[in-house]
Amino acid sequence: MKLVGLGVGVPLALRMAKMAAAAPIARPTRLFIMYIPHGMPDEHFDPGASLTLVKDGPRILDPLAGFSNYVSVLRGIAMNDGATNHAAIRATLTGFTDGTRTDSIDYSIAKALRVTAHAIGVVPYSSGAGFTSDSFLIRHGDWVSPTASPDSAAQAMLQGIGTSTPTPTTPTIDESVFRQEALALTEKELDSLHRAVTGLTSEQTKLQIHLDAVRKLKDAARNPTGPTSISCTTRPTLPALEAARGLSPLDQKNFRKILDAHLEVSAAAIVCNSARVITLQNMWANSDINFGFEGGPAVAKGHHDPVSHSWDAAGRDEFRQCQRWFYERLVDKFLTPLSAKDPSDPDHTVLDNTLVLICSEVSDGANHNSDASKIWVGGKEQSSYLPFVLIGGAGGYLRAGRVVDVQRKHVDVLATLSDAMGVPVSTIGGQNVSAISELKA
Amino acid sequence: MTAARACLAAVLASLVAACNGSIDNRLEGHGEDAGTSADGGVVLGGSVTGIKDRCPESKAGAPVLRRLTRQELQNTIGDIFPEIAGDWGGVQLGPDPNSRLGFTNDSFVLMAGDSVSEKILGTAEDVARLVTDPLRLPQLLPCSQATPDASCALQFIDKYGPRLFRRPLSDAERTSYGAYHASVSGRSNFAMGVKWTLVALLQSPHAIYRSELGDNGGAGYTPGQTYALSQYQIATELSYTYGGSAPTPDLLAKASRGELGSPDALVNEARQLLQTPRGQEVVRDFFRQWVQYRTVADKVKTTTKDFDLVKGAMAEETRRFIDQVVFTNGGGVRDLLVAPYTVVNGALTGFYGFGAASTADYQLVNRPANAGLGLLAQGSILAGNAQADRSSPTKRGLAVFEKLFCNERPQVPPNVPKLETSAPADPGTTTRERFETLHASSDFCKSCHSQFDPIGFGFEHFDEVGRYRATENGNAIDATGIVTRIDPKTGATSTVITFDGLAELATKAAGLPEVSDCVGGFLASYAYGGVFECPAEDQRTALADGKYGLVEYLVQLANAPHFVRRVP
Repeated sequence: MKLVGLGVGVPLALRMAKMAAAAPIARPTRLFIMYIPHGMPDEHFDPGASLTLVKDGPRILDPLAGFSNYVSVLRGIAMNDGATNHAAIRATLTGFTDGTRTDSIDYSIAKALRVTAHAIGVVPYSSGAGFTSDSFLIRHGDWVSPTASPDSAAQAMLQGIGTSTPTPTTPTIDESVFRQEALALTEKELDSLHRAVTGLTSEQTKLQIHLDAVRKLKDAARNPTGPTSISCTTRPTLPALEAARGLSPLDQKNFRKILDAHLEVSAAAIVCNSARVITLQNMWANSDINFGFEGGPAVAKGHHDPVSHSWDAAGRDEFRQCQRWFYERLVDKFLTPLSAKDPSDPDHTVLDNTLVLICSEVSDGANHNSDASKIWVGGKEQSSYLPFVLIGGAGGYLRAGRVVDVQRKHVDVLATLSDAMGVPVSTIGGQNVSAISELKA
Repeated sequence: MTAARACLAAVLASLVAACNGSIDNRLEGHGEDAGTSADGGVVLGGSVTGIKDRCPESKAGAPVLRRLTRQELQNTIGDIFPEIAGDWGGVQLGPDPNSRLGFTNDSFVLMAGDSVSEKILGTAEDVARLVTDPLRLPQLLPCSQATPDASCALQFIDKYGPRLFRRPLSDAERTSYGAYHASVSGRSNFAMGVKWTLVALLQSPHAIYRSELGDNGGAGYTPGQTYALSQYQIATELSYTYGGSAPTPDLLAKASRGELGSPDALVNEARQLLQTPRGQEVVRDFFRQWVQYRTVADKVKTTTKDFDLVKGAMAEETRRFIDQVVFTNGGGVRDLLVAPYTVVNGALTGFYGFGAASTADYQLVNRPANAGLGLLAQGSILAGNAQADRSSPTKRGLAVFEKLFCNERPQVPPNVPKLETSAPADPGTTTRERFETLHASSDFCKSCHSQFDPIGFGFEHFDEVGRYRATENGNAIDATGIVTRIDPKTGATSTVITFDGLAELATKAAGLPEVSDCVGGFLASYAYGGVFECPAEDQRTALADGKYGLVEYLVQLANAPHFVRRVP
């Protein structure tokens, strides 16, 4: 068993995801996680007891109408560990309030599968304030600032596609052994330094984290990971990526183009099986990005303030438009391409073999809760819960096309993702977890 | 649901008492936990309250290893290998995480976990590939063509190893790297050996961390014992703290000769480094991170379309204003807070109403009588700490509460709903009146907001985009306010200052030693890469007494005990 995760002040083993060896996966399942900040206006999100999505309808989930057979809406999910407000962004994928007890679930799954966990983002942090705790969503040993440039993301996720290997005129040198040896030298120096700072607890912890990371890199150099079977021989045409080329990825005005490019590249990588685990972070918990950008929902106000915090009907409708817009883009640039036959499994579509999680750190944006509870909106009582939506067949794991009412902590959703990807877990961060059986086929 | 009812509902629902809970949102400050952790700070290092305490004398802090920031690593590699500048895409590391104080160089936050280590390795391979390019290596290492042997490899190690490690390599290290080169080149070629030797040097902990451990003789560390920093460690500390990059060969040579032992030598080096463009950028970075004035460029204002045209200029105005105060005038905390001038371009002049709009470039101007004073009157601060459609006594009050008085922002409690703000404001009331009504509606709300809203009321003559307003919707503005202090032991509240308007707030705050101590504490934490207890008391006293400007104060931090020795 390979243990993962890092923590401080608690026995390491207790903090790690207890993970069985990756079970064989019958079908080539891929995972795509998309974070949309600050919850939803619940009255516009709640699909009702049965999943009835209306083509061109106004509700937030209506853009998914063409994919309703693939959609599972979870009602009743609450943040684990009391995580709430903006700080809950750090728990969303890690499971815990402090966010440091475990790695984010994408990383745990990817490591077990021996593939790369790609972290990409659309303006994932403030150019003014920097990479603050309100942006901490993805944790791969430390908090990851997602790749903001679609070009860079494409280079990483489409690696190996459409590049024919020229016949070498001279014998090539396999440098992976040299990489291992360089890392071994670094490991030795770190180990020596670690011993030299005996008595300095915080410095020892710092070096232990570094040492663990270098050992993982050394292991990875020894056993290179990567897609087991890239199914495309030529690089797909990527018009949205071309349209975004040269644009500043942190400029709010480019938000639509950057998002489209990231979704398009992600879809291509998943279709081609060149990336199996991708997390897309849209903005951060309290991002005041102006949603009046070109090609956006035409709400020329800050997403966090005032839009997401609106209580009045007009403001909440603007919030509806913004959050619905993300689903429109997802359908257009990501889900639609995944309707094609899976080159790796022609009996199914790519979406049959993909698991998509849409998640947020907050339940109702204005109420600012992260639990499942009743709130008052416009004089009416309204159910509020974390807006977690699963899309796709996950290789036959899910029985989709339903609303699933379960009162569970979100860490069990993370366990479900892991289970669906063939990496069953019984604990995360020392806490017992279980996959949500009601979701399974 | 009315605001008052919302607040009351929050009380009943959350059962969270006292002001170490708080509220959220547009009204006000809730959800703004950037740089803080609502859960007790596991995520980030540092505590605002820890930096304002005074001690009878300075104390040396603990020995630390400081991981280079992204910018420091970028500068270091760029300085040591200027030959690759045209082809190198830069370090692969993403932005460094902010500490709770808002700083990106906190040694307690900067780690080398999986992601960072992978990117350091990627950076090292990028640089090594460029350095060992067949057209470049012979220029950097002539012997690589003439006599590519073990001796030539050692030449390379001796040339770049000490620059990267900021000290001479030990014999064991030389031998180790030489053996590694021999091993790799034996299975490939000389250049390949150099490439991977350089990868190992670049990602070595001795390159990645600035050692401020002191010399322990290899025997571990004992609490209470003093460990002197080596000359090379001091050279490194000087160079990064005051120049943002690795020490030059000249500075390393001074270290080798033991010339960095006297206070005068340290202060002189610090002063010289701060006069360089890199040094000045180090100072600017402090102000950018301390008050985060550049966030104004991310703000959206729904009331004033022209705001989008000037918000970038507001950030530039503040940069130039600070340059004027601290570099040109050598000013201190008082000058920063009460300077009667600013530096605006023609567009800002028109926007603020200082005069007619024009295409004029930035120039120093005196503020009109009603336009406030100093840093707090900067458009970037006023608009950056306001709502999209209205001012915000809470956000503005919190900015002063945290950044000038070093108080900890109250933690955000669970499930406290936003107070109603979306309903059209009653034109017969002012923002202040609404806040006073809403936040006084329960003891729960009041327990926190009474600490900072009354500070923010002093800004009410400035609207959400930073412009002066004589009245609000035709209503008279009450800009009186108060700064209070809560005795941590007794919980008793006492008055620190009362004021009427921003200018009086700035003027009275500027005269308070505790404000100077707070700002000085922030700057020391930035310089030393973390919060240490009372690291520079003499310097803070001199800053409060007006003997030092802020830049000179930073220089004099090189003369504090913490700079040359450490005590676990």
